[in-house]
Amino acid sequence: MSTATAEHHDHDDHGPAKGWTRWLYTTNHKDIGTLYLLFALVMFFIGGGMALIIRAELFQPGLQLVDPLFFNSMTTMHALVMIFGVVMPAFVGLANWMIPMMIGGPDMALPRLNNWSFWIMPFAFLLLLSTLFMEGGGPAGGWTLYAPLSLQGGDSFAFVIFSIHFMGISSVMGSINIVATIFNMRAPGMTLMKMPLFVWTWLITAYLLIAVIPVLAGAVTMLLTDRYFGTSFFSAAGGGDPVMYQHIFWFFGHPEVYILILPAFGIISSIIPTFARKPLFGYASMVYATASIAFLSFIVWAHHMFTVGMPLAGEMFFMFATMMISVPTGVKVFNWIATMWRGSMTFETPMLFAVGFLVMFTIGGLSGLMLAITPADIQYHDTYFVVAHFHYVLVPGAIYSIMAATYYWMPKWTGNMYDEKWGKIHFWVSTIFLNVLFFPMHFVGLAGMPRRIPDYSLQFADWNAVATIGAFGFGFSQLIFVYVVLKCMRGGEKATTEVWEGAEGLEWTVPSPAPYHTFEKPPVIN
Amino acid sequence: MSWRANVILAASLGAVSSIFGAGIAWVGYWMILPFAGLEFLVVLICLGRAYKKLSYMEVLSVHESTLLVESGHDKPDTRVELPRHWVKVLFDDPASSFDVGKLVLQSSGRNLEIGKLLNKEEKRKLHDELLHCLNFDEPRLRLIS
Repeated sequence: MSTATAEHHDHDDHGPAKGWTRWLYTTNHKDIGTLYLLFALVMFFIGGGMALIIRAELFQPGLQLVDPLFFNSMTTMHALVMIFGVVMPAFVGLANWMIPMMIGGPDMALPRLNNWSFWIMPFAFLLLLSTLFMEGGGPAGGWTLYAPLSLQGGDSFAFVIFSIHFMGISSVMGSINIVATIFNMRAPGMTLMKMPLFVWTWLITAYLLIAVIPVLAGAVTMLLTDRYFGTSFFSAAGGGDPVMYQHIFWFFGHPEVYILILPAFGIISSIIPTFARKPLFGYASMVYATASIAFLSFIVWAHHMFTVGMPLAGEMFFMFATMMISVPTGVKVFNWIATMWRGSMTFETPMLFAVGFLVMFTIGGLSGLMLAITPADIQYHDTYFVVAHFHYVLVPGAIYSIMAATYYWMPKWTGNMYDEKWGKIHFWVSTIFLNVLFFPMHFVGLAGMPRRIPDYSLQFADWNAVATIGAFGFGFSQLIFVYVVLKCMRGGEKATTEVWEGAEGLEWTVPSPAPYHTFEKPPVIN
Repeated sequence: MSWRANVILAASLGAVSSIFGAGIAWVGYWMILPFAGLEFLVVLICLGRAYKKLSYMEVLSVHESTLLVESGHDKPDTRVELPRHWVKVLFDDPASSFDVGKLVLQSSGRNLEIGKLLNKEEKRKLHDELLHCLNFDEPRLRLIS
């Protein structure tokens, strides 16, 4: 009697199911990652279209194209779509594609849950977008849904709340899956401090999401009961407190800001070492800096509401706590620059987007520091300066990192190299128009132009016209991105296993395109 | 990760929202707490399910006259011995994408399902390998899933 261990072949020969059911029933992390990314791309154009409506209306003073209520709906929907429908799903898509491959796991820990968490999203957004066609229009009180303003909208309010619940359920399910995967599916030898920074930043992001989604769910449910069930949580007339809504919302909202940027830090930490051909400078400090940012995100929420009239001690606390965030963020920027220092740098498209991120995200960070100073913020509050600040953080920050990641990992996904020439054109055209779009907002903001208005004083006309030209230029330049992605999916120069000369990590050890099933046998970690 | 570590992980995940939810409930805004509790429950169930699935193992050993199926969590604690030459390996291979099918060992009127955690392709492959192995004299297989 004897027993031998059988050869355990990779299942490269077992491909996905055929037809559309592959995408509906799939539990494969790569398929679900692709679905998330495509969904985010579609929503990017829907949210972008809304931005163009806003900018077209603001091209010159006066009311030209849309009525003020619809304009307000557009600002509200644009934010909801871009935050919950573009940046978050795109990061979840990247996590789905890359985390199992980066940690040497065969798939996500909970594949069926993964399928569910994606397929909830299209329904949530269908519900949200359908409110635009309902009586009274879509939500128009801003994405923050401040009470009591948001309670005075049309009957679509309940649908908006339900769609937010669905988005929250999807986010929580996705986050649980990521945490379970990272803690339970790592290949032997892949210790926590050996994990790529992208995995670390996603682990911390998932923690943040799981911590704050119940807060959002509770807050919007209380809005719902105030509106339809006669409660008075946020109604001063019934003994409630509208300012409390702002506190609760921003306790969710500020960590949410980091949810939108921490995975970007992970992406940039993967790309810069590859194209600088040097290991990441200060890996451990990057991990600790990410954790510090996450911790601080819980104690700075009231900097969004300095003007509500809080005690001086409160203002001081939130001011200094906010300014403290610049320390770990500065550590990160320093480490990225130190990684590039004396590196053998080349500037392929992913690196261009990474460097663009570094420069412009820092501009957004610096205007954030200005906003952290309470007396200054009281002047800047609700002006276009704030709009300029968060767009500099989110567009060259989150969106550029997603584009950098797409160019960086697309050869691994498709097996084909993308068109480098068009990739670089995409970067330069986007970057020029992005600055034409958002930089003038600093000027009009400092001059006092309020945000969320369809009309404005004549003195702001010139820079608004410039910003609108930038918006259309930036919007249409994204068609180049679609062209490059489609072209790469259809064919092109074959990618090697390593793809990039300086690339390191488990994902670069599997063939390009990555087989449908990877790491059924745990890889060896050195 | 051990089950205890998974519970600690779930507790650490639920702690922040629960603490904040409790604090806010103290001043009358209680609706965050049920969501935090519900989420904690979902996190615990999901981690439990992942742990259970990941720690489950099934070892099939083909011996001269027997096919031994051992299974259990963390270590095999259930043993089923089947007469090698009287075992049928059946896989229904359903057409539906929803259904991953059943891989069954049949012997003396007894059915034993194996590879419950495998997907359809993996079950098909195990089915083929088992058939191949059982039909040759040389014992060569020890599969762990």
